[in-house]
Amino acid sequence: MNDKSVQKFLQLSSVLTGFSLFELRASDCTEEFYETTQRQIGRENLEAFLANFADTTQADIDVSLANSFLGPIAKNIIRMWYVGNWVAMPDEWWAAHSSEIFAANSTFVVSSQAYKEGLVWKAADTHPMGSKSGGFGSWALPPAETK
Amino acid sequence: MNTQYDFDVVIVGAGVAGLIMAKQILEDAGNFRVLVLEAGGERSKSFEGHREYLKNFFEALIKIPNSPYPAEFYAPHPNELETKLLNKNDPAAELQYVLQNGPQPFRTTYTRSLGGTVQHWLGTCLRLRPSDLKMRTTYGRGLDWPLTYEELMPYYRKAEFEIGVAGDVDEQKLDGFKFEDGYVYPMEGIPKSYVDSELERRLNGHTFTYAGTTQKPRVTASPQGRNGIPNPKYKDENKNQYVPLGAVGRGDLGLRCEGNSSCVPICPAQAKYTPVKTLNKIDIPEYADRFSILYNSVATKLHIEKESGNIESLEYKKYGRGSISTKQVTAKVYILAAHAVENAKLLLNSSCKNDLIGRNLMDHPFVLTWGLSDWNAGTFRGPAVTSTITSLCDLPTRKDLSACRIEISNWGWNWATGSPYAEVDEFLGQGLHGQKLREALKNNISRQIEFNFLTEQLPDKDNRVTIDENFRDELELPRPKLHYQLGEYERAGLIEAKKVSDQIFKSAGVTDCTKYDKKDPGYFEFGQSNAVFYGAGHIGGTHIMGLNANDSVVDKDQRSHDHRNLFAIGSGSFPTMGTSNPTLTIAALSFRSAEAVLRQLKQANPWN
Repeated sequence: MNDKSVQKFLQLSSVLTGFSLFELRASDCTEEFYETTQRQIGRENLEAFLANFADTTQADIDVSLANSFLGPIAKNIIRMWYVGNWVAMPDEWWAAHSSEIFAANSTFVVSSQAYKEGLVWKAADTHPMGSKSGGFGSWALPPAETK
Repeated sequence: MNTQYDFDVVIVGAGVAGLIMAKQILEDAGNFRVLVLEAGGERSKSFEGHREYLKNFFEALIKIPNSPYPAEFYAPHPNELETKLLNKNDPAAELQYVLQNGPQPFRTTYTRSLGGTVQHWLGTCLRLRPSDLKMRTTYGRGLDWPLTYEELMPYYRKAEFEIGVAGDVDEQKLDGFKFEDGYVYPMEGIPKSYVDSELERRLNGHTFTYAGTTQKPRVTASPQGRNGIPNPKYKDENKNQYVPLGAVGRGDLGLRCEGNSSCVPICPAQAKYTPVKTLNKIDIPEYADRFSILYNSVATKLHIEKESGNIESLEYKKYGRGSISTKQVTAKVYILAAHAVENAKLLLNSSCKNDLIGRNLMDHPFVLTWGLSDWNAGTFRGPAVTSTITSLCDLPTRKDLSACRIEISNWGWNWATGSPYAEVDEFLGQGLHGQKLREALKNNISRQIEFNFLTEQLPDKDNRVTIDENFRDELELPRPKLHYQLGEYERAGLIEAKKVSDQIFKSAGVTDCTKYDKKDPGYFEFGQSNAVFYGAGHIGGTHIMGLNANDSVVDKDQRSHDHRNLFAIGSGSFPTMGTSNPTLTIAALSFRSAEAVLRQLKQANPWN
């Protein structure tokens, strides 16, 4: 695996998700997500995607999300970090950019780990359903913010 | 020991009803021999099997109740997505194990494996109300049970011990339930969630109108079958304090509910009761020579002796890798505990004559309402539901429309929209990313309020399970076919829910966001209003209990009127559903029926 690409993938993930590098590294999902993305959209498309973000300013991201090639990839990476799922690429994207060597264009849970590390739970100040519970009676306490 | 029969008792189904029955018979001094046949597998018997189920849950895209529990090829079960109606020329409809004949879909499922459907139960352990058992007398609707609340009270206590119920008797008394003096639940009540307490505080002093009456919103903590703090005042039948039972295979774990927020479909800690805990009390060396449980063994047919009508043997198919063998077993008494649909399927496939078999299929059809609070509700913490609004459970309006119990969701809009997945998709669709996405999700999800209005469905003979010879399962058995619709009574009750919700939301600072999708399989209209109904996972009826073979299939002991050595047990015996989750009553009835079975076994001629 190309370490430089993974690092870039991680840095970009941080900007896309709104979570720090530290928080993302703690989930230990970076390499799995990088590999999943590469398997689903192909090495060349991923390299092209990463190369597009030379320096990731807010304006860059806004433009990229609206781009018909970059946008669906970026959204899929965000979704993977937030809920642990890879979602099938849109039909138009698949028709334009896929090749026979790709994995099938499918929707799946990346792994148990990916599910449990989903950022949406952290964003909502809670824990993933079925894991990392707060302990007996924790649900009776006011949420963190209003303590 | 009588060797004329293979066993004294054969029980079909290793769920809560069957395993409590097995335990009671084995623990009797009569040294009776018991066989349990389980259609599905035994994964839940080991801690490793439980971990496998948990992994299935984590890795399921759609985390529906049966998602951790894969169906066996030879013992299929339905899932919540299989709502296609047979007559719609949709080839997919034929691929569903349970055939949906409509006119509306039956949206409730069950599970065929050790532990049964209770593996993914919520854990609510409400008793039925005295009036629930006499709907006909009290409200001129539905049927009366051949049992009174007073007759059930001692068995509810046994069930509350077996399941290990955490609850507050004083709060239940305020809610209209009667208990023996000094009785407490085995464990102290599970704490109310922050959402519950905030709603209770905000609703204090408010009223709402309901079907022409004025009501106060009464937020009541539910007794629950999950481990909490043992109540030092509790004494069991041997005057002992209650000791919680931990996880199957790892008794040191699961001694308290941890708040994993996934009770339905799976409690990772196994702090929530599972029937496997009951199995572990009888699957012990002491009973090894007179207790057997066979997995992957599907009961297929009861053979009936022509003259007496008694059951003379039970046929079952044992399936394994690439092999299916047909076997026969004989017993003095046969007990069907395979849940309402499978019990009916077996009775119908055995050509049992009573026309009421399969009829009066019921559920607690429910509607959801949802909104955003103007306060941080701290959602997605704790068990799915810790309190319900019980004001509408037993009003005189039950003569006109279905009673309802309002569950307060601790998991935001999880059941309504599929939160938090739907919200991530929605905000991504709006182009949000980074910090803005994170904040938008936080702001939305932590303020999600959802109510589940569970209504009482009345028995209706046209709502029924039949079997269809033209559609067969992998064992060549005719598959169950469901005929189902909501009556006016239930529709009226469900539609009233939204009006109540609007008022309560307003009082509690919640902005309504409810939207009913016309394309949803549960969409229906009533008068000028519409809603979407779901199934609660509470299957009832199909072999209801009553006084004689003209009004029912089984008697108050759950013994068949027509076949005196045959019992059909579980919520299939319920003549009405009330608004309480059925598991506790299923368990209580099993304790009660076990006494009848034991009396019969001890008779000189057990067939009379």
